[in-house]
Amino acid sequence: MKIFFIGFFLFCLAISVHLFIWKFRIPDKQLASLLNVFFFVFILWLGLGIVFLFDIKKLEFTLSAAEIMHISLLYISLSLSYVAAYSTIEADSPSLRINMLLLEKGESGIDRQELLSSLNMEQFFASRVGRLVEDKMIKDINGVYVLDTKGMILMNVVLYYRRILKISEDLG
Amino acid sequence: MISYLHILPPVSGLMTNAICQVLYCRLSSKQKKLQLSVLIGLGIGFISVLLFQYLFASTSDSLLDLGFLCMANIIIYIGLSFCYFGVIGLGLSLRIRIMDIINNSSLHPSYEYLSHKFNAPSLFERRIERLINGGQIREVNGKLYSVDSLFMRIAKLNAIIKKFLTGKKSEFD
Repeated sequence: MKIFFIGFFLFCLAISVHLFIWKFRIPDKQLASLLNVFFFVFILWLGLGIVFLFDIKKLEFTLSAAEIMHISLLYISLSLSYVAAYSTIEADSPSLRINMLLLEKGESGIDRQELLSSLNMEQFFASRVGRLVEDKMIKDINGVYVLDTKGMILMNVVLYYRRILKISEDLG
Repeated sequence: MISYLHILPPVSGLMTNAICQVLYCRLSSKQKKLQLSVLIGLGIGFISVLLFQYLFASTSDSLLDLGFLCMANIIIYIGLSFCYFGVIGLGLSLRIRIMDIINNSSLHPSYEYLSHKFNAPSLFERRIERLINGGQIREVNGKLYSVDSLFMRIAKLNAIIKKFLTGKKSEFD
């Protein structure tokens, strides 16, 4: 029971800190800031974990190393899921955007060409290139683009995994 | 008493999930093999979580503890599987497509070259086709309509959360 409640408490604490910060000012690098919030709460938890493990302050409540590890795993799992889901909130997903546009049109529907023109495709492209440069995945050198080390690593992981899965479909 | 063994069910579940997903994807020749492999991996991994949980059930102090432990492990498994699904889905990301174009260019590409190769209209056409084939939207007499599906509810929820957190309906507002 301790694992379930402490794990959720830590997650709720991190979400509260995240909401508190976001209500004052939305950070420029939202995903990086979100990861920092979760990491900060995790470090705080590890510090508390040591107190509970060795019962430094002679508390009634103690935790075993296995319990601390289990709670950490629950917290990490919830945090990473939230961060992964947040990436679709920070940046529009084309599929979700298509769905929302169709939803707005309702029963009248929308012509394919009309849908494509209302999607602002060029904006999607410009936004993604901008974010890649910001995240140091690619470098803009006097108007030409090259992959940065981070981008190269990510690209190789994706390509390697696609080879393992034997997927030949185009990327994107 | 909680031991390290209790951490095993979600971890083994994730490993089973990944192994089954990769095996199915490699061995299947079906068109929708990626989507199917994700579902199959998730299902078999979940069964593995329950099996391991059952094996260690006798080491729990009470039924209530066992129930909460089981719930925690299922949540850990679903969370980790969601992250794994995110890694697989990276291949569909627009950013990866841009990086792939840069990676495959013999010369360093300019913005215009990238935009030309990115070919947004064909990419969005493909997304529309994927949504039609997946039953998430429908096409009748050349017109597209939304469908009351799980995906549509996710889109609605996403819009609500986006509005709440960022105050915007879209990143371009």
